[in-house]
Amino acid sequence: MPGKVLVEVKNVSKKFAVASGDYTALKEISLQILSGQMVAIVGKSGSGKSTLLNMLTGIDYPSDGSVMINGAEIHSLDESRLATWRGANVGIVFQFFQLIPTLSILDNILLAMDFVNVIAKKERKQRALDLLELVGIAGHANKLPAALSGGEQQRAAIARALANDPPMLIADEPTGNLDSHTTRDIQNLFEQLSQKGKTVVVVTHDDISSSGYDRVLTLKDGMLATEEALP
Amino acid sequence: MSVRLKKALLEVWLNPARSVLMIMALGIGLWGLGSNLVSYSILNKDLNANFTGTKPPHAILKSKDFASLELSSFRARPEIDVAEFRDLSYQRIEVFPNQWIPLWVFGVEDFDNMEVASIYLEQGRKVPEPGTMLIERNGRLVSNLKLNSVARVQVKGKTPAVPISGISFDPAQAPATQDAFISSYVDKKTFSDITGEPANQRLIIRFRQVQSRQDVQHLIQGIIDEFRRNGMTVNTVDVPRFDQHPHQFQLNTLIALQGSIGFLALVMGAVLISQLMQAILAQQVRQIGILKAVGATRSQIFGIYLTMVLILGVVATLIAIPIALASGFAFARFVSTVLNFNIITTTLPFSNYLLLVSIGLLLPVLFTLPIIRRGTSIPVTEALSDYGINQYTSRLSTKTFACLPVSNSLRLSFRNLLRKKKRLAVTMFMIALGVAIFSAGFNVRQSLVVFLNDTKESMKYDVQVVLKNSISLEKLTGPFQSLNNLSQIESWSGGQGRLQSGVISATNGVGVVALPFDTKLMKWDVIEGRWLQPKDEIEVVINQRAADLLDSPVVGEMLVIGLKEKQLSARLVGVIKEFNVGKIYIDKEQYNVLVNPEGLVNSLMFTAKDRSYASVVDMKMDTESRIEKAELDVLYVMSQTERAKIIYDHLDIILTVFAFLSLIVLVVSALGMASTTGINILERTREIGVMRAIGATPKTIYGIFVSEGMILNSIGISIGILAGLPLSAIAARFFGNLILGHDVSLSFAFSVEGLAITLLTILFFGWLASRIPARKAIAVSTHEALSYE
Repeated sequence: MPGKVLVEVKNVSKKFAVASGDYTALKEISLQILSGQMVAIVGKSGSGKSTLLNMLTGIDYPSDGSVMINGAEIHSLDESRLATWRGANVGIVFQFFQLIPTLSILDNILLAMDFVNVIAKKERKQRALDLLELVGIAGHANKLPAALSGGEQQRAAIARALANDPPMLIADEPTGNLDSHTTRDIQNLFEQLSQKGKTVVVVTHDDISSSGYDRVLTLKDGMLATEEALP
Repeated sequence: MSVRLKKALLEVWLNPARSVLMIMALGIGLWGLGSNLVSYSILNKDLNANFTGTKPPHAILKSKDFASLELSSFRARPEIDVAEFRDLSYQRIEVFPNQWIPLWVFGVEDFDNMEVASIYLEQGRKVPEPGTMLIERNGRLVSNLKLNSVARVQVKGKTPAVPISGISFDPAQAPATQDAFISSYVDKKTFSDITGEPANQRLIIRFRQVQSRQDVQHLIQGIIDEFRRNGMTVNTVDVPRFDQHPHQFQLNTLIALQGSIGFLALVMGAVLISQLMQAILAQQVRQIGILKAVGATRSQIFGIYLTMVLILGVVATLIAIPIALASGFAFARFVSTVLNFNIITTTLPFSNYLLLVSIGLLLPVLFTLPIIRRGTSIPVTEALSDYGINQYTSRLSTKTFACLPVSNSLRLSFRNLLRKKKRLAVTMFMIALGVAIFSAGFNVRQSLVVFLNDTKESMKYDVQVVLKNSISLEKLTGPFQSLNNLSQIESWSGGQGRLQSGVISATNGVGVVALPFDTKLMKWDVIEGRWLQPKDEIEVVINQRAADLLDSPVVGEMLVIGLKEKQLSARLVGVIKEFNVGKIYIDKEQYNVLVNPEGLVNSLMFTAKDRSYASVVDMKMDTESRIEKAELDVLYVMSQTERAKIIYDHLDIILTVFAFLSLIVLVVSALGMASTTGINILERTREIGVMRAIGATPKTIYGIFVSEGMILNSIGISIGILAGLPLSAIAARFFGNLILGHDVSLSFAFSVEGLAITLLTILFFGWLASRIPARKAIAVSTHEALSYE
């Protein structure tokens, strides 16, 4: 059930310097996301979806405006503090899974815990195995990513995103590289997580009508074109 | 095990080719430097320990009046540590049938108690039986002499047979293999019996608490003055270098060479590692972005890559140190054999290992630190937007190569090379450096060959006979008038002279050579001033070694020279370059007027009609037979071929080491090239996929990468050969100074043979270094290449 305000974006603009001058990717966007909500961000290519996601994850800084997540003004944190904050507060899921190819699935999850150091050392391994159980790939814990299918790798990436028990999960086209059956499974997984209290923000091109989203934000030319609450 | 450490370990483990390349680069450098360090530690200590272990004398006095010296009272003087009579006579010994070389016969007072200039017994009797002798062990390498064989010794024209009752080891003497003489040791009675010379006329002394030759000369002056007051005349005083072996200069040269090139190889290895690290970081940009995205701080990622470098450093160190120890000891043993001393070191000081480990771990870290720092500081957005195909923006090179009349693939190779200009510069620098050092090695070798040829050419005579004492011209030339193959005879005079040092009131022995100023038998390499001319004023020319003894006198100044109990002032008019002991050259007529009124001579120079090697050898054998029949008291007979060989033997070890070390540098250069091609391929894996997707065949891609390597190679070689020229000149100066002293340079020479070998070697290495990674590139499928992260 949605609760307090977890994300507050106020008048955020983002400009990039390109050869022909400044390119504005986001124009004065303001929005709020409540804790436990499952939000979809949609829009055409170049509409600013990924840029907005980068603002929410602290991967990039806004040119103007502020981003407050879980009480932290993330736009004012330096790179190192932001990385630690991100590891503890936001789980990121990428389109191409981005698992470390030289580490096993289990080690990929343990590495995320190791960096952030919020989970007690003795609990880490069990937690990682529990997460793999949660996403349904417990039997693949000691395999390298290359030995898994795309869907399994994405499940592993979701498990890694949950490694430090962050309140929010942000996914950038997490099913863009998967078949329709696997896409459905991943969407169900996000839905389950949302029901367990995680805030889930997903940039997607998929059909969202039956995927358990609470809200849909549509971006167009860097602006929030529509905001729709789903039943 | 921490997951971060595991990641670092896996980076090393799962990329074996890359890791092996990095370990090899660092390992070869470490091995080079480590081997140098090990052999340096051993040689520097052991040669000195061998030499000083003999307790070399600080001063050697010769006097015919020592019969009146009460030795026990002399030994009781407070400044005297040890003193004993150790006579020395220069004779000759037959080493092979009708082949004679100089024999130094030492008359020893007490074989059981040698407290100065000690020798060590290796075989046979420690105390030779009367009428027998011990010979120095190195003498066996230049002769067919061995324990219990009977040697023929030539003394005053007679050839007594002297049994060899023992083999001794005397590390204070120059090795027979290098200086072509044998040392022997006999008791006092045998000394007089064999040589016919009275014993107890040569006193060797060690003083208490002297640090330098100046200290010795100061003390010896007091002793000489006191002897004079007591009616004893000291005929000659020699203050030898008691702090270093006669062949220390060879060791110094080797150590300087080894140290500099070994260090260079190590630095090149470290540069190579830094390049590879740069490539790894470039390849893993997205991975760095992901790590940051999942919560890693910059310092944590920095730590992972630094750990990786440390792991490589540890592995390279673990491999290189034992090999360095083995090769360092092996090299030390080789040098000890050449210079005739024993290796006594069995373990190295802990500090040596510590130094090697520190260098092995710290150097790669230091070289990669800025690269890792820069690579891990990339912002997350930038890292995540890297798609593995780098943009290329140099319009200049696009235009430049567009007009090249070459295939599109080759044009692409040219353009690709300019994509990473810094890497191109570093790689080219490494290849150029390798080629420069390698070719400089050949050029210096050529300089030495030229020097040897010049030395040989400067002496227009073929065989030289030098007597111990001067005799009349008729008596000396008589036996040789009908010598086979003889074209011309010229006679010279001279003997032992003494230079009055300007700094201290002591003397230094030099050979005085009195020869016709316009002799046609020598061609002089004058490095300062001029050669002798007919003048009323007495003129002398000295060689660079004599100049060193005199603390570099200025041409034009007056020298005081002791000649046969007389002292004369002569103007120094020139300094010549020769590989020889200190020599003073004076016009024969002036010499005769001053000290040789009877016109006696002590050496003959024979010129052969047929100057081929075999004919000159025959002529020398004929000379030896006539010497034996005429019972001449000869110091030595030497052909120019033998003299050149002696000089060459002194230099050969240096040249061999130089060639070996140059090759190491060249191999590291080739590794550098291999790594650059490998990095280029690694970075452009996705690009390779794109090229194959649009129709490039594996052959085309292979051709592009091999062409890149060969273009890089060719430019590097050209720069290297050009840079090798001034480097060769500098090296020729450096070696000239070390070998000849007195800041004398070897002439610059260019080795065409060396150029050919350098080109063939580096082109082969370069081809190999391009081919291996290029073949690897085409082994990747299009699908794999396109999905490469």
